[in-house]
Amino acid sequence: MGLKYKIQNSFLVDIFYKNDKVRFYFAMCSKNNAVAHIITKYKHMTNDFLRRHNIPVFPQKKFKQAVFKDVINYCKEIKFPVVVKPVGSLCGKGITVDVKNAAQLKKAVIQAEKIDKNIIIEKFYSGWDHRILIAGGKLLAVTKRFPAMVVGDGHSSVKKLIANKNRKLPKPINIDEEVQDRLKKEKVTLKSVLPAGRILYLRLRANAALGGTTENLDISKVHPDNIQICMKAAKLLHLELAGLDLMSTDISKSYRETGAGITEINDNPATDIHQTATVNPINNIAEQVLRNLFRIK
Amino acid sequence: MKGHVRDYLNIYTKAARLMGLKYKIINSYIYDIYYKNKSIRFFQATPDVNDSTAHALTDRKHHTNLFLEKKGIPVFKQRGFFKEPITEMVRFASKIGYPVIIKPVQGYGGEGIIANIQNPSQLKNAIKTTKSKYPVILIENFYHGFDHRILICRDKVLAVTKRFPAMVRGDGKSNIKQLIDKKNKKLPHPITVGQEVINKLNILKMNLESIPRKGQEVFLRERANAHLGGTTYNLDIKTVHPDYIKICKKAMTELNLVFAGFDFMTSDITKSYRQTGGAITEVNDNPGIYMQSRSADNPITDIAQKVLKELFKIK
Repeated sequence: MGLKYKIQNSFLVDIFYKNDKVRFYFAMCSKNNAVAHIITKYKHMTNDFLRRHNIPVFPQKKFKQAVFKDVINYCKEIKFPVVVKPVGSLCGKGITVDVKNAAQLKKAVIQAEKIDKNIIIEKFYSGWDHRILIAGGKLLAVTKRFPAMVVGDGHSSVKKLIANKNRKLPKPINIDEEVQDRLKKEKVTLKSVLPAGRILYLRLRANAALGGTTENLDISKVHPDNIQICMKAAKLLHLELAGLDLMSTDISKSYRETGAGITEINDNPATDIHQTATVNPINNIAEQVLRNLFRIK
Repeated sequence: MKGHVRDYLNIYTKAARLMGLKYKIINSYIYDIYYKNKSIRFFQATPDVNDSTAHALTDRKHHTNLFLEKKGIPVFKQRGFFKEPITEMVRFASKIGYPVIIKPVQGYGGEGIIANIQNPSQLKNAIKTTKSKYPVILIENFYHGFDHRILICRDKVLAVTKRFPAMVRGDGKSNIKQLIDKKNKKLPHPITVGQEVINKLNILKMNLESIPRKGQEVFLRERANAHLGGTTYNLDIKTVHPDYIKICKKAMTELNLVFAGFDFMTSDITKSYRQTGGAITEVNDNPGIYMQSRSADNPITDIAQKVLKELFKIK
């Protein structure tokens, strides 16, 4: 792009365009302000802020040193299934989704509390996770995230399919408790041979660190209502650069119809999600971000 | 900061009311204040005039220290330790020279700080105490001086506040224990006698039964935090040597800060830091305003209004 920059140290860089400057400290961007940073850092704070501004979110509540009776009462109020997550969770650690009853809840709370004594209970919505990137008031990418999965070929075992897949993934699929649970629910074992073309999801959560994959969608296929609420959320939070997570069963339909909601907003979004997507990678995403932050025509 | 952070919503919205400014409370932490066509959003004591990189950078004391040092801004020699063995920490302390101070990388209100450590055995004890609570700690040269909070918004210095650690003044008759009891009746946060106070008295070759001379000032701690019985005094800004203001403003430009509170350690603020060897120990992007407004001797009661006036550039 021919822009000047100055590397201040290994985590701090200033980029210049005409009289304007953008500083990046890790993935944080100086065009975003400190207050928006704090609000988006705390997921329950983001949820509360968005809910108060009529942006669709899933009902949730934070529990500090949770008393199980209170947690279960809340789950009954918002109705099972729920998601249990530790407040300070990185890369999806300690999160259990699709918790259907008290027994599962107890296990999930113990899992979450291993990471953080403060936990969040949220209404579970079974849909696809989409990462939406906005910079300088413009929507740059909508990336659908798939949980770890394999596709049957009619002769390989599930175990073989996973091993084959792992050779292509940056982060492998580990056959852990969550995967075992999924297999049981799908009524298959590691030795089962899947018919050709059968898609088998090995997890419920789409996280690249857990062997998930990604696809950049054609933005023109995304329902305008969904784009509109994401743009509105970024604007309300005064975010110049934002990565929003929208859960939806079908992003080509309005959130009003699908019951979709925003689950998280990142004020320091990693652009490599879009750049290294498994399908339709956007190679110049970082350049597009800079162009929009500087409002370069 | 901790403990009364929610009060800032009341403090700043009250100031806005007194100034005839409109505001909107979003929840118990977040509120917007309006002036003409401008709005400033606050999260507790943090206004949105500072950017996220400045916020995150000043939140990590060792990154701030490194950054300022590279820019030629005075800081004390320091290093962060995470999983390194104690022997390496002791070696570093010997290299920079005693006394040293240890503090957690991310901590508020003076929590976890142990100052004026004189030798390796004291250092080892201090590391054990601090390391059990905080994953990353800093070892820094300890400087004998007073802590000053320099509060700047945009181009304007709003206050320079000298902070005194818990202390008593002798009357020639009472012993230290009696003087502390008497003083505690006047303080919002009492002076509690713990290991730090005993150590400090030891260094002064005194104990709780010692009777200080009339008028003698006996400092009981190294840290000047209000919740540890410290007190504050707002200085006449004209008496502050201009070098301090100049270097703080330079730091603000380098860090992209619009509103900031600097902690400047120096033995005498009427003399340049170049002469006293003073340095910046901390930069706050969300400075509290209690120490200015609750000074026992000369409180600046309208400090919140002064902050808002500068934030909005109201003439």
